[in-house]
Amino acid sequence: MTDVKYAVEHLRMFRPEDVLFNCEFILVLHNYNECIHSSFIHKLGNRNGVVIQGEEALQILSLYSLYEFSDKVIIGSFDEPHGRKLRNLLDSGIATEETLIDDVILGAM
Amino acid sequence: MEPRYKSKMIRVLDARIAVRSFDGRAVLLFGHCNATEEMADYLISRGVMPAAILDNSAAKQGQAYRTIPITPPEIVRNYTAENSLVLIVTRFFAKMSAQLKRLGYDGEIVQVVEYNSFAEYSLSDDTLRRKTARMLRGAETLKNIRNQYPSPHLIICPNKALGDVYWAMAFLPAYRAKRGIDEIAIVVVEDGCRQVAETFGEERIVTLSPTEMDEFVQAVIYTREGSCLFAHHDRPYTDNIIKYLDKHFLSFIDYYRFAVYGLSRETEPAAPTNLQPFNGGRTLQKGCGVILAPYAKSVTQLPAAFWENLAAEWRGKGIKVCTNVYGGETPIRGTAPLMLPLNQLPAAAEYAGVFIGLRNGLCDVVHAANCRKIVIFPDCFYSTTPHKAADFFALPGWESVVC
Repeated sequence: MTDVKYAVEHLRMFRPEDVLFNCEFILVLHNYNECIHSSFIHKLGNRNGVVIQGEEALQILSLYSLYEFSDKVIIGSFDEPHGRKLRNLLDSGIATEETLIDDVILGAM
Repeated sequence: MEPRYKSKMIRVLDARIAVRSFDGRAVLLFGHCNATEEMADYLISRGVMPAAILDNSAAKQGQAYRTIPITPPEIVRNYTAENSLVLIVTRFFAKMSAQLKRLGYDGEIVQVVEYNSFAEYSLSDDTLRRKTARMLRGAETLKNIRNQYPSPHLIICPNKALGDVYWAMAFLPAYRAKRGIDEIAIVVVEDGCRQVAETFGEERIVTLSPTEMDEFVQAVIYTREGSCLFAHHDRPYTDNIIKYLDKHFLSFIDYYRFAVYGLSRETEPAAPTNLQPFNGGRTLQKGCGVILAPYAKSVTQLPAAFWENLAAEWRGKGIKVCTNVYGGETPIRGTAPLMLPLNQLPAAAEYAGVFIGLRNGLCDVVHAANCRKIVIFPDCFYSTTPHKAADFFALPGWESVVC
């Protein structure tokens, strides 16, 4: 539990308030996916949005795993955060990758 | 709506009515769902007529519930903080509240019932402190479960809903076979869900309270606990498979087959293997009885008169009618109460010959029973989706009535 407490304390140093205030949507791409990235940009149009990658993406993903702190955050993944089962719809042949990206992952846009 | 949430809703609304909080203000409800309909019913019964139900679904906009128009949320722009307020009784309060503020609404937004401990749109120190403490409590629960079951794959049924657990269990054998999983343990909320898991022969079952489950789920997400699965169609919040319903259709049962477990179209659900014989023969007549199950929390209740008329119709044919009751539920007038452990209910239905249920988890529990089965659907939408409850919750092999 000490590790968990340390991680949360570390998270408290990272406050994405400014980004949340200024953007309508924040795409968090922990593992880069070209299709998700380009679809996000296309759907965003003239609205304010930002794509976050790398260490910052990891921080936001971790914070989002602690609680849902905003509805502007879009985690650009079929498998993350932990517990997401979206890939099952792909593997079962129910939906295509494009459908899941446009209508589910980016469905809020 | 669960009784504990309904009591809370009534307390909140009564308190506001007592101080005339609604007088001279347009009362707007956000999110057209079963819970909102129950809130509207209660407000109307207390003389408060809501001005509109706001909903994001284009399929619902333009319709009405009890003459209350269902409108796009954008109509809040026509109201001010002085002449209106918005009541929200769904578990998407944080999201809906944020949407209204983005639309420029500066009036009061009331969270009538707190359903959702996972969402809070704030990054304040206080919020972070509370959410951290909550997750750490869950981590303790997780540690205790892992002390008891160090290696089994955990099947987590995060919601207190019999039907959700039934289908999670029904497709579990196929999932285990596909993944080659030897040992499992099931984590459920409260006793009814435990009973459902037991009917499938599961013995390693951990039962948590709803609060403990929420905290445990958060800890599983945060610590990225391995060898586990959230066996649910729309929880936890980190999953978004339910959003597929916004533009496409997948039935409740198929959600478990495909989205939860990733199984093939050919996969058939397993039937319960640990059912018990019915031992209440004095209550029912063999082959000449009807069991009513009139209570549900996922769809709108039907008026008592509907069930009373139905019971009278069957009694008129010389058939004895019982009402399945649990906890504080009361039998329909003119029927005998039937209180059984869930593992006897399928046998009781077969003994009686006919089971008639408002679409609720008991319908799932008796799904494999060999008898006449009739499911009653209110003509309503499933949650905030554009799909009718009758389509989403359809049960193959049942006679279906929409009213």
